[in-house]
Amino acid sequence: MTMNPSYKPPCLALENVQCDNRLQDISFTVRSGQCVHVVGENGAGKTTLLLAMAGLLNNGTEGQIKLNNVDLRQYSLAQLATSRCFLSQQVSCQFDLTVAEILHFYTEVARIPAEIEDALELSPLLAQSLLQLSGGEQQRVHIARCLLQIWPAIQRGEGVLLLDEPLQSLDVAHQQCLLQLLSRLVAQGNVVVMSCHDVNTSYHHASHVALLLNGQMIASGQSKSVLTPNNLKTTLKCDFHLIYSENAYEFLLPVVNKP
Amino acid sequence: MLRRRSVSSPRILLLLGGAIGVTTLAIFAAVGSDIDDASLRQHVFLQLTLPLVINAMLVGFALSASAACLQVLLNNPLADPGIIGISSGASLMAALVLLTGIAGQLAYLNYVLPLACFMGALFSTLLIYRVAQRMPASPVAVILAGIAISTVCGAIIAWLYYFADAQALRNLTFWLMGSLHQADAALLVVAVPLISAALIYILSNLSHLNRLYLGTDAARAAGTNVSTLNKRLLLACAIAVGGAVSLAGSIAFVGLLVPHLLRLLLGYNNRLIVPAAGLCGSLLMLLIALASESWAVTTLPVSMLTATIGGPLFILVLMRGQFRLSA
Repeated sequence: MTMNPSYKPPCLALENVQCDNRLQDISFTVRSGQCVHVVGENGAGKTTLLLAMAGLLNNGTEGQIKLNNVDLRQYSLAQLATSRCFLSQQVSCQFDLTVAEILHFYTEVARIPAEIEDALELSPLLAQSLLQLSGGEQQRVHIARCLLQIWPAIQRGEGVLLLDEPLQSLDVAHQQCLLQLLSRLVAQGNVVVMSCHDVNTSYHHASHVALLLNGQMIASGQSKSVLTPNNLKTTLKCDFHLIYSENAYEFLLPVVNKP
Repeated sequence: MLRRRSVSSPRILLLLGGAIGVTTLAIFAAVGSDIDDASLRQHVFLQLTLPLVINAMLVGFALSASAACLQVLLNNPLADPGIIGISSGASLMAALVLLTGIAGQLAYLNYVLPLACFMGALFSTLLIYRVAQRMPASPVAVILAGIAISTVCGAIIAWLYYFADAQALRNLTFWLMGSLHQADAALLVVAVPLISAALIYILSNLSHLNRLYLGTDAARAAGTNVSTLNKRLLLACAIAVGGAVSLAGSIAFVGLLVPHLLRLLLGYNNRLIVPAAGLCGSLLMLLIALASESWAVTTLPVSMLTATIGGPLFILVLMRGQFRLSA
């Protein structure tokens, strides 16, 4: 982590946040150096929660969300864009832009930093049209776009990364590279909040987990204490067995209940 | 690494500026060159040639730059002011002024006509925007809303045709087909400041426009206040297009063809594409004016020429598969 005396450890606090019927009375705090995974079934409110935390839900939101102890509504979108990024699940483009053009338009950096290049391998894609890329390649571009948008803040350890299902469409190798990159960024003091459908990834890579069910947070805390078979059955409506392998590796095995 | 560009922006803009200068001089040389009387030549220059050149430059710039801006703003590469109905709104208001007999009673027609066109363009833009917002989010929504508004405007103009007298019909028909000669100094005095102000606003927001390529959510996440930007840029485009229609009537295809061809050549950076599209539009209009002045026995309707050149060229581009739309 940077030792700059002006370093402001990022902190995101939600107090009784409600949004129409999609979020109900959500309260929790994400502190510097935490990687929080939001887990829940489809339509549980994960995307809405991330949008609210990003300051991108203006209408119908009640309660208070504070970034670094200041109400999110006090920030302009331009101010927020310097310290927090938001990866949307669905990004569509109607124009035949190249990857280089997209990164140029949405970020201020002139070159892709080595850390991002190592994890996401963008160089071979730069001259290609976004529309011609596979889903996984497009996802790598959008992840890089988000990281580069707040790269100066990330380097200072002051970045807030809000990622809606960043692992979707990625192959296993790139999933692991991305998770390692996020772990390094979190170790520098940055905050990561991401939604994830793979409970084993959350079990091993998240420092904290928030479980959402029908817009309500039914449990939150350190990942291994929250991701219990009981909590998962309530949240995901699926039985899980916690398996201990011979080399002391733990994983959650979903059990299919046949009718 | 990320700012690669095969042709530098200042170089291409200078090149276009130079071509505009040469074409302008060619028009100055072509019009009135056979007049011996110096005072008459000066009169022709001030009353005919200069308004023609200013009109051509302004109309071409306004239509092409507005279309380039609208295509990104509405997230639709087909968003030509003519196709999505903005020009039809302006034309309808012009038709109302010219056909209902109001024109004959107005001492200040030169001021009323551009204002009516602005209002028509603005009203149809807002209507298209509102209708499209109520439809399922899709780039096709704007086109469909535009077609609907154009149809309604076309129907009202047809009814006005039905009841109008022969002379008014002839005036409107020629006006709607487009002419660079119908604007005089008085009309330019009103239209030039309004169009210029709108274009300056568009040109000063091009970096924000670059962030709209991936949609509203991505732009907001990147720090752009999209709702304010959308409203102001739509207003600016409506003013520019309304002004262009008031100066030269309805001109087809320029807005669709010029930005699209430029994107194929220069990429998608609006900081280059929008001013370059404007300059290309000006150049195209000046070339049409030059052709009209040099070769035609009578003044040719501009829209007829732009559609004659632009239509086949666009079909060629489509058939070569260079026009891509995502699913």
